[in-house]
Amino acid sequence: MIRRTIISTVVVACMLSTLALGTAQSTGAKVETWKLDPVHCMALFRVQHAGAGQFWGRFNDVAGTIDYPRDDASAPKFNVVIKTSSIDTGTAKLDRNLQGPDFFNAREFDSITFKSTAAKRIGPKKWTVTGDLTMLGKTESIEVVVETTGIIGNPVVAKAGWEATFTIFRSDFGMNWGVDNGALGDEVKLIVGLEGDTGPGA
Amino acid sequence: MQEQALWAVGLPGGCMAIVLAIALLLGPLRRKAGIADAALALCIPGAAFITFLVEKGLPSLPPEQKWLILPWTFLIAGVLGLVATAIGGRKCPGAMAVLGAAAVGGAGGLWLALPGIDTVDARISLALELGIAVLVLAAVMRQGRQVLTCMALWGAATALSLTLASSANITLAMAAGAIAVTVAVAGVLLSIAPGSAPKQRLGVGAAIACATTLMMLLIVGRIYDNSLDGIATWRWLLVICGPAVLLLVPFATTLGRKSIALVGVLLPAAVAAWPAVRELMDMDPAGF
Repeated sequence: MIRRTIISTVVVACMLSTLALGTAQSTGAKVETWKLDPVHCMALFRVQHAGAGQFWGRFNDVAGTIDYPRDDASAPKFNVVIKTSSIDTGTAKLDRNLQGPDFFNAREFDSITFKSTAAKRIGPKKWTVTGDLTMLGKTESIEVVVETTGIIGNPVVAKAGWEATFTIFRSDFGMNWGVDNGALGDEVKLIVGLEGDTGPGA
Repeated sequence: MQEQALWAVGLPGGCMAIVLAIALLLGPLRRKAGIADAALALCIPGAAFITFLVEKGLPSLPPEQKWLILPWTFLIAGVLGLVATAIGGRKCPGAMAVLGAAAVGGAGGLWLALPGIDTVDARISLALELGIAVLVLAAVMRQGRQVLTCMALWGAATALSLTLASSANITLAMAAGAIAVTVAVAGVLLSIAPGSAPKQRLGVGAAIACATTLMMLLIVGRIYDNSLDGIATWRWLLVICGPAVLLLVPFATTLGRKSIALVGVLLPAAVAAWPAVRELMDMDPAGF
């Protein structure tokens, strides 16, 4: 009788603890929507010029949202929009060249978009995110390594940051000027710094 | 950049120069009626088409980007030119008018499909530029001692190439440059070709093909103008005024001053190109 009581107690305890754990997980994994702050977001790109130096430029207008739980229980879901007209190389004439039809064709395509479709954890706060990158009207699936760089705030209002690093081949999107003769490299490395806000003001 | 220009301008120009040399200098071909006109009708848009092949690869249909309809329009311009040559402009002026209208209408349709033309101002510009395109076509078709016409077209294509370069349209600039090389070669070959009469007119087919190709480049270049302050309208218009001056050539030659005619057809191009030359010389070395 005593044994039976002990077994029943253990079973009930196990069930309760499982239930409690499940409740804790679902509470901790609450996904919040972080609105990207354009002032503190940027996309840096690097491409080889004339087979010689690595040339850096950036896009200044990066917007969008990220769905992500503060406890890193699930992967961040990205919906990022980059304005092509915000390209900035530090040389105004070169910026206009890059906005032209041979490169980003800002007249026809005012933005570059990235929407995540899947993710795989590779470490604490570090994910390999798969998503659709759309540029010049062409969509390609790419893999992006994303790290959550920090979260600060209170339960109501908070800020979070991410850094994404990836490489693309621009010719995959039809941007092939200078690829064949090496005037401008095909492989483009990108580092995207993102900061988002959540809460009533975001 | 220099190597890129060599490929995208020199290769098409060289290819078309070979075709023209075969057509204009080889006896058996040269003696066939209309062969020179057909060669010019094919080579002028052909040069621009090859530039696009070099720069952008084989064109897709429908084009991935709107401006990439251009290589297809060059093919259409070549076909229109060949058909016009085959029909014979002087025998069927009505058919030529229809072909010319189709070419210009095609340019208008192209423009309507491109971005940034949904405002009233843009449509007024469309009407204005199409009117000038018709004028250019008419001028080239009506006039055109062929060597002088080639010089006028060379000036226009060169000025257009420089203007396109300063408007940040690299591929378009190279296509216009390839046309300039081809037309220059054609002018030289026509002037030295045995049996070429000095007063012989440029064929209607060649005129239609060249004027249409230049207008396509000009229209698309203007729409995709990415220069810092925007290229002034007068510069775009002046680019194609050289061929229109051909209309005045009979007066100049009546006065016995052929040099006036020569200066007249090249001056608008020089004035149009000068700001572009200055801008390109001032350009930062960081430019591609």
